[in-house]
Amino acid sequence: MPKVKKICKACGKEYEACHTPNPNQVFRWFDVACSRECAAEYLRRVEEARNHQAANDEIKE
Amino acid sequence: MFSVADLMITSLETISVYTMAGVPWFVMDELQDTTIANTQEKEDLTGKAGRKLGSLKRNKAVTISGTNGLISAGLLEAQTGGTFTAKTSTPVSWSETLTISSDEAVTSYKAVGTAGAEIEALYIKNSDGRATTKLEQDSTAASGKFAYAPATKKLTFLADAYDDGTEILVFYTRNIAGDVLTNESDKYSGKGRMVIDAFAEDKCSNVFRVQIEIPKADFSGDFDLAFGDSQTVHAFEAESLASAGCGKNGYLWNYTVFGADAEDAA
Repeated sequence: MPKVKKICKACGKEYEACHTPNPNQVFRWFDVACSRECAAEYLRRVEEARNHQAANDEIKE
Repeated sequence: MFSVADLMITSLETISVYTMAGVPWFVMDELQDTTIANTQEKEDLTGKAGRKLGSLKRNKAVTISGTNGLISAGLLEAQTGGTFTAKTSTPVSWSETLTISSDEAVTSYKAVGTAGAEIEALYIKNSDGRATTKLEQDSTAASGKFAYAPATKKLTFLADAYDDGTEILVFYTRNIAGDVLTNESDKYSGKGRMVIDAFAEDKCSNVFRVQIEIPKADFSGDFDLAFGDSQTVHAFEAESLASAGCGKNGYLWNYTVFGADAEDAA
């Protein structure tokens, strides 16, 4: 599988990741971050932002 | 005296294919044409001055080829060796052009994938329609970044970064329920019992049915599906094997003629 250069969504560092299909759509840390730790931090931020967004949408309704 | 009528084939009706276990597999009923090509090799046995004394015949072979006007799912299975599976959820790639309004846009379907990276690519289109600027998905919208909420299918952009009406090109994966056939690299075309049904008439306008049975048709894995400005047809080719019935039957095909309204025989 081809390797691609990606930017870590948590720390901004450039890293190399294997581009493989993800048919089961599971969370794979190397899709978003340079390490498991960074991926956990990014996932925390995503969940926080989405929960915040959902709460705002509820208030608007 | 030979009593079977000479016939004009008036309509090619269907080709029915059964598995080698006798289970009905698929029927092709929009056939444009079918050919049964019969061959055999002959070697002359010669004598003095090369005169023919006899012949040595061998290698009888039958190839059935045809074209169906529709893409046949069953024929695809036979040609690829795969099996259609009805999936309640299977991923498909999707792309669409959306328009930003109030720093937001909404995908038509829910993008799936690794959380926080569901959108595979997003480009801002410029005024002449070209996708030029690529944005990255992040947890929140920022310069050069956008956020996505799968629950609401909402894409969020940095406030006032893009005018209302700006077009974006989005690529993502969505899940759908569908029937999937996978052409595996290590599975090969299959075999089945093939029955060709046709209507025929004799010179006196008596109507007959003709049924040609190929006891073991070995489908070829060579086939084209051509898409373009003309009809996509589904062509096939199969060879008749003389090994149906585990060696008891050595026939390549049966040609049966009977009256269109023939009663059951005892």
